[in-house]
Amino acid sequence: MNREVLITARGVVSAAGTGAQAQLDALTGKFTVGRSLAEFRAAAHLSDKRMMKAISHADSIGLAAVELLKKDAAWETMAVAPERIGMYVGAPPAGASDNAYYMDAQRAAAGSLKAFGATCMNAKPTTLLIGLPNNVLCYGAMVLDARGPNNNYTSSAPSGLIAVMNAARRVQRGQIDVGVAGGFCAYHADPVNKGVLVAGGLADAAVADGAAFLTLETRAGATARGAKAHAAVAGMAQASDAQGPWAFDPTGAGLESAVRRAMEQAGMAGSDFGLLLTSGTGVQCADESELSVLSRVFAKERDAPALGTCSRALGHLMEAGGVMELALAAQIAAWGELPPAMRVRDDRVAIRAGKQGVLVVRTSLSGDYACVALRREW
Amino acid sequence: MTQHEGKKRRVVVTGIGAVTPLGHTMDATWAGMIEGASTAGAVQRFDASGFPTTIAYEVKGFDETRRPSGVAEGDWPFLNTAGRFGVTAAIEALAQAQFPCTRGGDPFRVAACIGNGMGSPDFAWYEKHYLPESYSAEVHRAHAQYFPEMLTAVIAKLAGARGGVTTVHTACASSGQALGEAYELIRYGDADVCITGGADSMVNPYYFAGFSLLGALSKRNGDPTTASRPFDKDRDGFVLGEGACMLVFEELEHALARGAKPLAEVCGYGVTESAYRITDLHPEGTGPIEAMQMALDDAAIDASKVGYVNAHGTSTLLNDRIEALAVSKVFPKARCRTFVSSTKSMTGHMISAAGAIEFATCIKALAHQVLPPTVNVGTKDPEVLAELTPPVPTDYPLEYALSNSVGFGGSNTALVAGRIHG
Repeated sequence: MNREVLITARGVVSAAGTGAQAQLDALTGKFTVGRSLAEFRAAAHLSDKRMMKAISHADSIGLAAVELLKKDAAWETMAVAPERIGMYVGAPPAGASDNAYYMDAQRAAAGSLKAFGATCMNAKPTTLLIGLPNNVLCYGAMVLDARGPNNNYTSSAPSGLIAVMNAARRVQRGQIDVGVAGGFCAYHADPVNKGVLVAGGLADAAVADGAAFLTLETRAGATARGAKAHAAVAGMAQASDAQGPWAFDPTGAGLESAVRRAMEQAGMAGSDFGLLLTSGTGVQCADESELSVLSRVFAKERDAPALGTCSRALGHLMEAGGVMELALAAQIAAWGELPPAMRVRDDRVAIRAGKQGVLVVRTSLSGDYACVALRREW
Repeated sequence: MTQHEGKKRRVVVTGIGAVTPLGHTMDATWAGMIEGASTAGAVQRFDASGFPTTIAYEVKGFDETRRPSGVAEGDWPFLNTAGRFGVTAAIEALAQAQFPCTRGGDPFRVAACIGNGMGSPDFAWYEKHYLPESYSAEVHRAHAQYFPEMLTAVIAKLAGARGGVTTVHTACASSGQALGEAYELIRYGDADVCITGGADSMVNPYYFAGFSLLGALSKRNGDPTTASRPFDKDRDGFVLGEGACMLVFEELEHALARGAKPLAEVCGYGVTESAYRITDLHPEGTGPIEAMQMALDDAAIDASKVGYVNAHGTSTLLNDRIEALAVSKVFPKARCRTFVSSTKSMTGHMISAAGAIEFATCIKALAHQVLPPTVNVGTKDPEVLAELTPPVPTDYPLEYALSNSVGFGGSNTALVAGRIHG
């Protein structure tokens, strides 16, 4: 079985605001976007406010995106058994600093483990749960009554795209009928983990908070309930440089493998693509490698696809990155010209209306790559 | 070969490695299980006297400072305690599988999928750097070892895995899900080889505090070796363990072509989400029931073919009762002669590594045709309907075994292993 998989709904949050239009306005340069969601009040979006008691700030942003997705998908029209709905999530690493209670107790204990243990025993029973990296999977599944196959990926920047790929594969194979997939992060509320990213090479000003989730379903399912398709997931592939932590192959062989296999799986040639959405992390060597691979793969095309990045306007969305690009690809492709806020180079680039493909690439500091090829439904 | 037939691409296990409280290799771990050993004791790693629980199954005698040959000096600082267990287990598994092989092969057909824990951040690091906000690039760089993908990156390098490299966290189901995803990658043609497994160490003040607050840990501090007693009527919680288990999964023909010896077949995988509560199973056991049935359906075998179930069996009041109910529904006594045990009585709860070591235990049981013993059960809980394995290792003809895992957050996984003949 190899069923066609469509993206039919989106739930997105970034410092630009909630919903796709806010992101698109930021990408066209209507306003300048910060990077932090420290002031974001997710509770306003949650259908069950009790969740807020046992989740981190990052989780609350992820769950807000799931709730936005539920509305966008008109979930009540989804006539699918809960066991046939799968949920796949890309999540940031846990950190003890997520949990203010631990830190307060440690401060009060002044270095004494014995005092720390005794102080902690006065905390509420759910203290441990605040730091679980799979909270969004759990509570999101409750929100959507998604009881089918699932997973939670802590694979750094490609995590969200890996989640989309795994959900799409299972819809393709017929293991599930609907997949919900995406990623989230909030490093600005977590100075410890954000510091690690910066030590790894990301610019402090680039790291952004946000979340993006998609609904993936079959054409038959979407048609039956009258859902609008944004795009079809045509091809996907992962690859790695296998060079170890924070090291990658400067030749770009790993990324090139992922790009070529995603295109091959989609049955699309270089000439079919009108838009390439790169990771654009701002890490010089990674960006150079990414650009050189894409130049190589698409070198023969007379009308080269437009090369853009959302990271310049929205920041580097880590685990939500890649998914945000999938969510916005159809509308970006419809602009006809790459907006200045998305340009990798300064020249004006046309997005050819007749071309049906968009390629989304995600890279990590450790040379892990994910790539998804979309086919137009717009 | 195995009796399991009828799939285009069959997945076998060609290597296993483990670092557990029972030993620093898979063979040592299995030997400990056959002895019915329990190595729990007072926590050595930190002063636990301020916590209600002061015992754990720690990995003893493991030199965390010794960098194994093959691991680059520059990669070593990226590994925390669990990571060092994980890499050691991976080296053993890759050696047994004779992988990476020296005769070519496509590295982009080799994947890695590892279940890793919450990182067990170091109490002293937070004391020294977080509380006084005293950071530097070097301090942050040192903290990278708590990022879960670092272990996967080192293992991928060791294995030469340039296909998909993925890290998974679904709490106690993490490595069960990593194994399941590795199996599907190969079964559906996305990879030929995948190194998979899990690593964890939550023997750490933050998690002792957290689990104690949930009332999940045994307080039988005066009798540590019998504190983990899954399915016993007097059980009072689990005992934290730590360690790692890594396996090499491989497409059957690929393994045979390069002369690797299949140890068992991975026949089926099931995964569901309970979507009920974050820490509790549904009282009817619906999520695990569906996962186990999904795994049997995927394996295309009837429940009666499964002779042994390695249960999640944490030794908590509710988990064991509900899981036993689920097992008895999937494997009804009227038509199944299926024995159940939880080896957490001997390893403790290895959290993100639990699913992997328990699946590896199923493989050893199939290979040796032996039921691992049930230990620490004085009086079986009368509400536990499943038939437990005898208290001593028992010869028993096994064709299939199933490993069941459930996790905080509601993820349920089941994996079916099939015996290799000859």
